[in-house]
Amino acid sequence: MTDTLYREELMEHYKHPQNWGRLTNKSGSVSEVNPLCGDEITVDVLVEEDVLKDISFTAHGCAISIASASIFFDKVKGKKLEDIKSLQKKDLLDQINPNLTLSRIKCATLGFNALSRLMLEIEARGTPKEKGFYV
Amino acid sequence: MLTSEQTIKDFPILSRKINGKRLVYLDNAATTQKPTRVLEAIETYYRQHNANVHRGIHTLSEEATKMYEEARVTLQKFINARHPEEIIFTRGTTDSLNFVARTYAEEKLKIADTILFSELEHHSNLVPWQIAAKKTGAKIEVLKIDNEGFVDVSLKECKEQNIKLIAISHASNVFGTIQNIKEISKWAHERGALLVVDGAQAVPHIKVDVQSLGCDFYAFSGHKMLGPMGIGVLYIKKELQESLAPYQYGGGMIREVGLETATWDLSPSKFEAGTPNVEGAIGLAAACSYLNQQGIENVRKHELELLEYLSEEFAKDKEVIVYGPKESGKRTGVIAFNVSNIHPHDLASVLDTEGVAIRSGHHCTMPLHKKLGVPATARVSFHIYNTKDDIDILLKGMEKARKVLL
Repeated sequence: MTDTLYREELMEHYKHPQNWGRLTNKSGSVSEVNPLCGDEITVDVLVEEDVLKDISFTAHGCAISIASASIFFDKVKGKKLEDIKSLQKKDLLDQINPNLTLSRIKCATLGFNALSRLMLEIEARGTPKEKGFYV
Repeated sequence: MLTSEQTIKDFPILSRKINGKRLVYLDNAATTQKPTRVLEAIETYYRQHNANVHRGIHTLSEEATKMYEEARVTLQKFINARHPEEIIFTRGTTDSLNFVARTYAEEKLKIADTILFSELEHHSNLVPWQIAAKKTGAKIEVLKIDNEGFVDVSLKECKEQNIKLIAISHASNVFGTIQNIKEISKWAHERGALLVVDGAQAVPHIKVDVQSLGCDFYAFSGHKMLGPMGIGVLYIKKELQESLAPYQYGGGMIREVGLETATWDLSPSKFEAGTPNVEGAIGLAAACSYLNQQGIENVRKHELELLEYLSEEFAKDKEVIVYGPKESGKRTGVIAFNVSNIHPHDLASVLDTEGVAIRSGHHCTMPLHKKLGVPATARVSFHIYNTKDDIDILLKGMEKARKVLL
């Protein structure tokens, strides 16, 4: 399975992750760990008018977790929050590799889970007008 | 090499292909494979003798009881306990350690008391003590380890008169470090403390003699020593048994039951409530007899040869960082390592495509990995059926991993 698991597109994202680093101007950030292996990811987002204007991340993790986060965050950047929320985990996994084993699914969804949690947190804080939250 | 063709043939699973390649099983610290003798013992039990044990008058029950109690004697001899009733069958090491936490620590410890354990313990020899401390108000003190994973109890500075329990692994599941249990035992007893030893990684690989170690409790699992899953042992020194409360309550452990009160049977029944894992005990006894036939000293010698070989190969490679004791003689057949810039999960994934099974992660020792400053390590661990050829395939797989990942 390595040939498909570590195919070129994925390795490109692993070696040169997109949106790597921390945002100075941000609406929120979140850290998520994979308890199986201790992998960590920190995600920053900038939300303006219900649009994910910017996103960045840093992580200690395996190729699968870093490449998956890079691919997923690239995909959601610039999208409406509404549209991001409707994205399914399965779609991401299909894009990474439909045959991932159970343990590797946990790696591949680390970034997805982090962003999902952050979106819920942001949502819980209320609309921008009421709370004056969005930058 | 000690491993003969026959030894490999004794383990049917080793003829399996993984991703089209011969299975190279190097995850023995997690669980070992089972020889035909163990598989057949379990099958024969169910085909010929299955019945509930104890107090049955009919033939099958008598046979099953005899087999179960004979298994206890086999285990007693295997770790050189003085009495068969010092062997309590449990679900495994975790269950055994929780047993001690429940029946000893949580019952006897008080606010001023201290529990000691080391930084490299497996979570199963750490979390039960955290909970026991929380319930009783007792304090936890941590024994520091040196670079090779050794604990030096004489360096411990704490209010010694209050130490009531010391929990330590005989061999580390990451470093393989074999502790000087005799010395720790002496130190513990001089201070009036009891010693519980997590022997999960020792009993399968080195000769263990609980009398000579002098420990009070000794816990280990069947499945890491060629036996079945779901069975393990807690050795409890006879002198302590009377003062301990039962672990669980119900059938099989009572002397007399009224509607409002009950009294307990003698050990080992007192500590084995409910229908026991008879197939497990019989399978584990078969594993002991297989190990006896091979000779546990030969298992050790064999693993040392493999350790030496892999250590030499790793030493040639500047990209490989090995953790734990430098001398093979100080560790059991387990090596945790990292390859620069390759995450252990990725290494394990690439190796799997070559049929090689290793473990990657924190191996249930998060505090130890925190100390090492890495979230995860790769781990190779041996048993009697591994060969130098297995190591060569591992090394070739590691080359492939570098090509794919770097």
